[in-house]
Amino acid sequence: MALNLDYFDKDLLICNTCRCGFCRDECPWYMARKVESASPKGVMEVIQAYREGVVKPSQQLLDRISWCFGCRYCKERCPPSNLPEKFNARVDPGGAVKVLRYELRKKGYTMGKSAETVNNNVKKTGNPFGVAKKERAKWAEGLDLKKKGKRIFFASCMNPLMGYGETILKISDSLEKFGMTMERLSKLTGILEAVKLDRVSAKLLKGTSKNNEKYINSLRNSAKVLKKLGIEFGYLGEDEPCCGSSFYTYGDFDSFESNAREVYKNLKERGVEEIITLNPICGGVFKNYYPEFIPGFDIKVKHFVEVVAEEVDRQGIELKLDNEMDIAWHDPCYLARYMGVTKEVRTLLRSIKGLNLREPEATGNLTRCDGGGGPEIICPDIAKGVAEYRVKELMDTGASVIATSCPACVMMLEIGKAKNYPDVSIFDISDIISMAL
Amino acid sequence: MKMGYGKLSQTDIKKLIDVAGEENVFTNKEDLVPYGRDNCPYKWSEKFRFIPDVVITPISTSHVSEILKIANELKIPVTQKGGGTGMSGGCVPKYGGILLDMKKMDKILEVNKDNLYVVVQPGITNLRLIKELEKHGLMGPHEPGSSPSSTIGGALSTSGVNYRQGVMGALIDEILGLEVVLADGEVIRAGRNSAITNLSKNSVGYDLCHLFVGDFGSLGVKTAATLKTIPIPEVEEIHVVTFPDFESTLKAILKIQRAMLPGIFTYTAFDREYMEKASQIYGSEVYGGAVLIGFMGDREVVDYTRKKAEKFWEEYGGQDMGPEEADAEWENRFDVYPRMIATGKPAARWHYEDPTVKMTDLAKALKKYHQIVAKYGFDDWGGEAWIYDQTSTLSAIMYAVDETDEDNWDKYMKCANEIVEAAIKMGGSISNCLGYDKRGVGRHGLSLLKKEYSTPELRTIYEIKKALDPNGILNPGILSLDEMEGV
Repeated sequence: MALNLDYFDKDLLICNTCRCGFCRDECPWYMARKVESASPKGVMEVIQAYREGVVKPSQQLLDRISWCFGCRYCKERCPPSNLPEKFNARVDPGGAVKVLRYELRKKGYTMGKSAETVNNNVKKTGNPFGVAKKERAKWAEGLDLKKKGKRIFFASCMNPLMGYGETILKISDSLEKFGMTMERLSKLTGILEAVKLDRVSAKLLKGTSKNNEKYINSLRNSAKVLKKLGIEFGYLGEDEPCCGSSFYTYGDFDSFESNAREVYKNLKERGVEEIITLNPICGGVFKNYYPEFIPGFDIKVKHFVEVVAEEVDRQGIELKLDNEMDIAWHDPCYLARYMGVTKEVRTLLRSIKGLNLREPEATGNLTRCDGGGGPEIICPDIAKGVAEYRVKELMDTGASVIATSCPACVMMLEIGKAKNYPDVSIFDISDIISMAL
Repeated sequence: MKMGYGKLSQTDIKKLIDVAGEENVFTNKEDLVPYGRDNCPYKWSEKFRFIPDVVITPISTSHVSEILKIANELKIPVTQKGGGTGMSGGCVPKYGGILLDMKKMDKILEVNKDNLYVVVQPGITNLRLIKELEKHGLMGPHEPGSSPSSTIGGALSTSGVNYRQGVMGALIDEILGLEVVLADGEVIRAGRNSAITNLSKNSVGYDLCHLFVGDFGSLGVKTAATLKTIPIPEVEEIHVVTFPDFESTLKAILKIQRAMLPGIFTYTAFDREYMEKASQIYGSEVYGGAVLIGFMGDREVVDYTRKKAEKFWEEYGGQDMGPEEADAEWENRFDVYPRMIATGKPAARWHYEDPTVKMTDLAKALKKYHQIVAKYGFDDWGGEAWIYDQTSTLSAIMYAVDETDEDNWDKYMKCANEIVEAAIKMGGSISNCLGYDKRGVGRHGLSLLKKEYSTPELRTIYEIKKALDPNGILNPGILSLDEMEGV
């Protein structure tokens, strides 16, 4: 179990003797900072030095590693990791970074007010935004979804509320122009957290309703598509738990473990055997991290697009867009690398008449992060630069719209398009399927 | 060159920050430790031995110039680093001091499609340059096995070889001119017998351009380079041709070379030992010898050349393995680094000796290298040859070195030296592209250099260094220049 750095002994040995650095130059963290310690290859040397006492635990060390986006490009690109499986030569710098965060937090250092606020929010309200539970279930109003089922649709806490995140980042971006840092802003959210959340969230929601609309629409579209395809599923509504991804990302493994046990128990008690989710972050966390903490974790996890691709093929359904569209597909890190879903998306999108699929330079399992994944609230200026780079790369394909399927990606692409491509629409794949079905 | 370097004080660091900006100057331990090694083997216990005192990431020529002025005045060593994929310790700060990480200077300054050249900053990776030039319909000038992480600046400092040198030449053929910051901070243009850096043939003074190629950063800091490029051809075809033995492979290659066929961009030859190891990893078949041969040009040229070449290789029992095999080999051309892990030892990495020998000595050389590796009992990973032209080829031998196995370190150094000496005896040179100085293990050194160079030749090299860098601040230790005083 990846609870301490011993788990990465072999990774460190392989990486620190191979030293090819093939992971480094397309790593979003490195591209933004351009210094070795802010790269997967470099951080493996830092971690080795830390383990040998050459680098001491410190707040500045935690600050340095807090910027890794956890996109897993390094693990995927790593030549040793790509050797035939029999050699068991995995190198996972991003995984080691998360464990080092955990170790340093335990020693009393902090990931920063923003990250700690998010984790506190999840503890108190079951979602990173600190919003009342009833808000996150509102998206499903009028859809007549069953509350139970062996197979459930997991809406996640991001999709129904991501407008909050987008608003916060946009406000932060504006405030930074006036010298107001995210750190100070997060103190503000800390204050909001202390007061009565229902009242505050209602006010906040009013301000963000426009931003939130598209995320909610994607959720509604996905539920409608699943229904139309005849797929039986339930939705837990206000009782849907939070997967706890932020605990893992921000190095609070203890809270992650207790939350994961609680969530698993809850789902098992409700007879859940399979989860379909539109949010690959939750999907990736269930698939990758839950089995680490819960031996015998036996709930199947699928992304919406896997289910739809399978069903469309099985039923021989013809998909067609009324108006032709040139779409650049952005593979979310969590969908492509944590859930391993890349082919299904292509099969599905290529089968849609009137849709011309454009692939950017970094694509499939070697996709490029767009700045989501956690550090966007710690270093929003850097995350914004990463997002702008990715949007340009997607638009260089000649596409007129961008599609993806991850609420954090939609949010970051929205942030990244503002400067040079303000009129480009960002769709979730559920929106596209809904149009074509 | 006498040592006696200065030490950076807090006031000096402050000066450097004033020049380069706080965001480009790093002094925390966690930022320094990843700068202690490159891709040459180091003892595991010494991995944090060569740590710089400060890392600076300059973003402009004027940054570099101002930093060097300060360093020269204070006599502080300055080591430059690109991708860190070098295999001779060239970017490792042997005497501490300032580490200039050139990676922020990674812009393409000009793409001249009409006159077919490109002006770049040194920190761009070779693969990124290839990809960016592709957008202009042009071919990247340099494509070594380390392309995803090595930089054009590093390649220029080591005088690298690349996969396409059959048509494009190696970097020494492609470089038209450089912008260089000298040790005292002065900025000069170094063209080919000219101050103009984008003209390939001139006759006005020394060839300063090539003086800085392969200098391992010891004569100046390269801040811009003008390189030739060519349009991407209509067709590019790769073939893997196998032979009953390595001698036949080379005979076929020689025959093809002598026919002066147009459009052959690469010949990379492998021997049986190489394929045996590849087979352990990928389960591929083993042959006596093989060549990866690439054709480029328009359809007619490629068809013509391939048909002619086919006839030659068939004479020597050559068998084309078909496009699937060839594409797979080509796709994997960058991913040879981790193969030693297949020894079952995670700390095993390759050691790669690369002497230059003449084509006609190649088979003999590789045979000798294998005997030496066997004598010392190392795990032999085979030989390969990057064939440059009729006169010379990189004759490479790879063997596994476990960095944690320090008891065998002396044996390993002896083995490496003996391989190189065998090449010198054949009239070869110590290294084709990696450099002769293996800093991490402290081997080779001046005694070996003396086997290739005469005393007056070494003195000439030393005088050039002294003239350009009298305080010896630039990359001290490299090329054994720190041992050459009074040679």
